[in-house]
Amino acid sequence: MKKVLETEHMTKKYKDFKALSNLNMHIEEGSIYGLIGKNGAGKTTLIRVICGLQKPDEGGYRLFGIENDNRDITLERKRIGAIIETPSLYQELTARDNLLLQYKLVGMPSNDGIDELLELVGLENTGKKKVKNFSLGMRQRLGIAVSLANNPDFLILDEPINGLDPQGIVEVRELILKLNREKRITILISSHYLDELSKIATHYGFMDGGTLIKEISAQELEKKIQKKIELKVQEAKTFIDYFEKKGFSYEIIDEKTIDIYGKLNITTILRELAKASLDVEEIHEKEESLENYFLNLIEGGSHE
Amino acid sequence: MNRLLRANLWRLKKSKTFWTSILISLVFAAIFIAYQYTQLVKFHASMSSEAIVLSFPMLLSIILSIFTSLFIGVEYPDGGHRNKISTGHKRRDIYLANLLTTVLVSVLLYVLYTGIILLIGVPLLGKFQVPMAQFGIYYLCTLLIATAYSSLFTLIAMCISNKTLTAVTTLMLAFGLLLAGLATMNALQAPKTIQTANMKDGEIELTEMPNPRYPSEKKRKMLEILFDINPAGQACQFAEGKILHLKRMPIYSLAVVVLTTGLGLAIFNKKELK
Repeated sequence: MKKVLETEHMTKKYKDFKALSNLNMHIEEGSIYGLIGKNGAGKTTLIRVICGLQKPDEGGYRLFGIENDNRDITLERKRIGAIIETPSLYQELTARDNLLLQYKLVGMPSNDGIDELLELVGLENTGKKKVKNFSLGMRQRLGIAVSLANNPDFLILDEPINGLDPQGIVEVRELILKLNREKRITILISSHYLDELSKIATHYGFMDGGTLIKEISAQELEKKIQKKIELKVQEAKTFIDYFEKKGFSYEIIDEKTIDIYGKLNITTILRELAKASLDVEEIHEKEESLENYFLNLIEGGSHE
Repeated sequence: MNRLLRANLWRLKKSKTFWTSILISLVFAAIFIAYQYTQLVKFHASMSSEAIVLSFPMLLSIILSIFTSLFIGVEYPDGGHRNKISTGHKRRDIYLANLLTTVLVSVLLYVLYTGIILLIGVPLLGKFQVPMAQFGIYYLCTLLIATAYSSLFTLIAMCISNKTLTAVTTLMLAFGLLLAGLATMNALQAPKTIQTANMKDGEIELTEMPNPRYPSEKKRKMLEILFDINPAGQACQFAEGKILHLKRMPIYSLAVVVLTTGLGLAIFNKKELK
């Protein structure tokens, strides 16, 4: 799979503070990459660096395969649409005027498509209303429309649902999914709303202290956080043959711990294991949330 | 850069600040003519038409300082710079497009002001009192003053991220340069000697003595250079019609443009945008 963005050992310092530290990240074409991290984890700094607003102090990144210190990087940036923190909008202009201006900036040959964009983000009826009078949700949606003006291949959205009401959140979520599915736009979306991200992301990057501590696909993550039964046994490897024969989805955590994934009945499991002469010392039913997974991860838990 | 310039020009059309600047220039031209005409009717004396035209850069500096801080200064809070960079525009191009826009606006304001003076002022106040060729050279020099002001204010608006701070700084700079220009002019126009009155035997005796405020030759040269470098100093000279070094002025104006643009580009290129 082609990579739209790769960072290698990227570091960004503000005086003595490392906002990004040795960061390695990989975003595949066509994915929705959810960048998760607490406030101050370095998400926005990472986005600013990728967008060329700031320069990395060490390491670097490749955008569509072009190194950040290559002169052609500005050409590749023309394939990006981005909202960094707050949408870039002229407050004294209307929604249509902001789009017209963006069309001129990105060099669109005609103004065709502006109506479609306004319709796409649900702002087709805003008329002469100036952006300064828009609600936060309307600005956010207009920001997305503006960032789509150049038909980007890669859309970067920094906290796009911050401050939105529930209706606004649903609208933005549906819009992101639509863009990814219908226009095949690769999307990097940063947020600390884990539940929202889990509804759309195909890949996750967990950030803490300026470092990407884990990159994982949604499928892998789903497996990690699904319902499971944890067995404490004398010798875990003696269970392998049995689980393989029965086709269980399992993982040997350490020499005395096994996790079995899926919705299983504890009594049935214990009965079956007893029949096979496999002794269990302890059994626990567990269900982990994305939140717990994230918290365990940043506390240096067992998910690494 | 064409795209950036086209976008800026399009934004100008929608900008209240731009249209207000035009209105102020036109209204000022009309008021200036009306005032000079009443002077002419009452006292049979008024400023010449070309002096009215050439004094405009003094007001233009104030208008431009406000225009630049609002039109370019808004690019930081509204995210214009971020947007342009993240969509692949070079920082150099962004800076130069903004500088060109400001220069175009300053020239346009000046030309419109001149147009009003030519259309209304000349029929009421009389023709130019200097040959057209000379006026042409003076006019080009004052256009360069406007360009120097544009590049100074663009430097500030492109390097300061806070819109309010930009507005305060550009306005203070405009007034500061103007006050410095007037102060230098006063110092240079100080008479070499002054008369002092003494009472002697019940009678007043006037004696000539050296003016302590008259600058020494060395200081005078320094002041003249500062007067010529300062765009407001140049503007004062053209408004007064007493031009010290006509040949030096365009060179100094161009030097201001080149230096401030070079400095601005260096700062903006390295600026970490948030």
